[in-house]
Amino acid sequence: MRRLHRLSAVLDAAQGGLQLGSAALFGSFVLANETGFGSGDLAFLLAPAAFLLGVAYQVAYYYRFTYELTDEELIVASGVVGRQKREIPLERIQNVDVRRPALKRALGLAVVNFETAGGSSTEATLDAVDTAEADRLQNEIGPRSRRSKSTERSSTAAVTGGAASERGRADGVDESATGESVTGTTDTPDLQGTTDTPDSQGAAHTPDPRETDEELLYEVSDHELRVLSVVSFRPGAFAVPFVGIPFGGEEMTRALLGRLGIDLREGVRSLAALDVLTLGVGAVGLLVSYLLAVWMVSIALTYLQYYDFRLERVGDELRYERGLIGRYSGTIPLGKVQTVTVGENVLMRRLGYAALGVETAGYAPGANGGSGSETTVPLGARDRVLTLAQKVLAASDDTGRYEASETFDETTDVGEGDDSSPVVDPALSSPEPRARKRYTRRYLIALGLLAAAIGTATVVTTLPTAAAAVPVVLAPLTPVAARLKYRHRGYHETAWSLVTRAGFWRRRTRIVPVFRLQNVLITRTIFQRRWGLASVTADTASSASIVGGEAVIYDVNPERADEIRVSLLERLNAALAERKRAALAGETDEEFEWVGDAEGATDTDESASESPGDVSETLSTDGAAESSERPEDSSVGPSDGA
Amino acid sequence: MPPGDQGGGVQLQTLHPRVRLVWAVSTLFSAAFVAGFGVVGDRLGVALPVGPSPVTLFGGLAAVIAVLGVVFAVLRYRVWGYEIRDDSLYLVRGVLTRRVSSVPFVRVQHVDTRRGPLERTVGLASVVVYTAGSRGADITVPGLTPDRATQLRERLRELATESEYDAV
Repeated sequence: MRRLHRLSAVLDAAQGGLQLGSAALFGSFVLANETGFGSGDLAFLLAPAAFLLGVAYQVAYYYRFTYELTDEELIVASGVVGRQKREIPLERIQNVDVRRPALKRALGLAVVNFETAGGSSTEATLDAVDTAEADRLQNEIGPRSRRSKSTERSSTAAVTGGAASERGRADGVDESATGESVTGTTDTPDLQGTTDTPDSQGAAHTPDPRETDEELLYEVSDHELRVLSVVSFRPGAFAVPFVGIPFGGEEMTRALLGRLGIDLREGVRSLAALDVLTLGVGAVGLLVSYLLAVWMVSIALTYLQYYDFRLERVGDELRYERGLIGRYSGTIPLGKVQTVTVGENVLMRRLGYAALGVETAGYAPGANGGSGSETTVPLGARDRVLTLAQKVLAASDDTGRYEASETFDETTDVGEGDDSSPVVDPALSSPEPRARKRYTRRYLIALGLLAAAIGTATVVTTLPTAAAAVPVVLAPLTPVAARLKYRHRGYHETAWSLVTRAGFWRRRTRIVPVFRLQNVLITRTIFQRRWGLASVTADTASSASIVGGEAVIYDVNPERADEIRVSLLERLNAALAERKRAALAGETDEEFEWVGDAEGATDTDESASESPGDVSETLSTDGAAESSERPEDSSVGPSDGA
Repeated sequence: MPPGDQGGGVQLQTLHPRVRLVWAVSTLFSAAFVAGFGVVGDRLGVALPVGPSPVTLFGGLAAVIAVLGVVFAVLRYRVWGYEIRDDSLYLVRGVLTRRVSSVPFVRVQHVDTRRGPLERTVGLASVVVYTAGSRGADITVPGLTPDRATQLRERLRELATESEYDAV
């Protein structure tokens, strides 16, 4: 049984006391002023009492909050009046996040969040423990939960002989060594040295292979951070300039408008007295300065958020760390990756950068309550990001099927301006050409509606009638906009995955492993039916799709849509059957075993194992670690053997 | 258009005709609710500076909702269809936006039957299929007789356990 850190109790007590105390103060003043009930003196009695109550509650909460980490589960008991005890099996914990906001960081505290696949809310929060304890929890729970499964597995594997796995490991090392020499990377001489004696190396690693299995995957350089800050527009920043208004912003705006001859105190009515030119210049000036302010805020926020960003692979998990003032870190289990998204906004595309998002079930790393952008790697040179995406995808499939099926067999495809990364950046099939006309039509209709709305407004208010013409001016741009929309939409099917892309301003390329599919949905809006078009949505358990980030194939022929649906379902079933077979065979070390198995191989062994799912998971984590070791060691150098 | 000619001329299962009543009555309830606003507003003597009185405004709105509700109930019934295929539950629905979903049995987490008060009065039931997917995570097949609902639920449950694979 452990308690939270004492200092956090002090913090919470102070906060709770102040909250309740100020509420009481405010309440009694209002009461005295409005109804005459009680006098102002009441406040001086009530407020300290409420303060003490708040403090007492928080102190009680502190003493009633305990947690414990056992071999199998995390037990959290809490509640002052109503007690709650929660037991979370460790292998169900998907992510362990450690957050160190500014104040807590200064006090050496950290907040630890545990996420499971079920539900959108955090499963358990420890607010707060000291930094060392947070690190311990993060370190223990990830590899530990997996190790508990691997011991289960080794008990079964022991029957067949542990020598087999030892051999597999040695093989892996050998192959990595050859891979090294083939690709010709010059670093890690020590690894080369140790691979000469694979047996001794294997022995050295066996005590705890996961612990030392760390690799720095990505680090955002200062230059990249500056570029990132400049090019990323954060939706959250749009509200921020208004925060400045109480502090002199109002006067500034008024002075600015006054220079243009607009006096806000006279009301909007005076706008009509101005000529259109002044009004237009004023509006544009206001908009530009607003956007500039948004941009500045966005730059600052992004800089603070992603300062010193690092992405590491620890065993079969990804771990990120970021932040200048507050420090945040989290883990993403590779075996639970649902989709991988490559995001590029229009500026990033120009400059050759991209961002990477990795989504797991029920939780999107980096999406802190929807405020942050859902990115795992915020920005990096495009080809590096694509390579990383490939590695993540490869590691997410424990059967090793990813590498076998597609890593290097589509090199003929040429993506937009970059042909080095075939799978995550393939040549995409476009939507039906007539979709372009549909988009043009759609924009025109939208403009028409806007013009009509402004027109109506000019009748009711004193807005000049000419304002209604503004949307009409934009009409010639609609074909261009439609063309851009069309050009950035597309999809690509591979044996292993579905790749979809959409968005001009913020283009998202999503890679959905077929074996992660949950539903396939064909939608045809009333307009799409007019044009004879249909969209296909490939739904996974990824939480990012709740925020609207789904993998959608836009505007294809209905027949084609149905073909895609059928083929996705077939491939899903085939992939699952293969995985099940592999799990039951218990031989994931031999990664390419599935190639030999034909479709028709009868799989009637379900009853042999009581819970095939568990077995497969047991194996999967191990397999993932090993299958991911090889390509990473061979392609990137710096796997620190120390 | 007749339901169920998609998917190579296979006739889909249709819902019980009485489901139209459920849908229509439930929109009539909301229409009555909207109309109630107007009546209350009128009683309290609320009047807008321009335009019609609250009763006319909300009454008109309620009438539109009611008419649309009935029309949509009829259309929705015509579109709705489902079928248990080899490896998935196949559903067609949607009046304005036509939606075709395939829910692989492997992905079915659990299946419920549900009977709301309105459904109970007309003697119908719904089957709700839950998946781990984020979109359409729960798929409802409405307008089934209780027997048929139970049958469908049991069948789906069997199919789901047969093809079980835990891979979230």
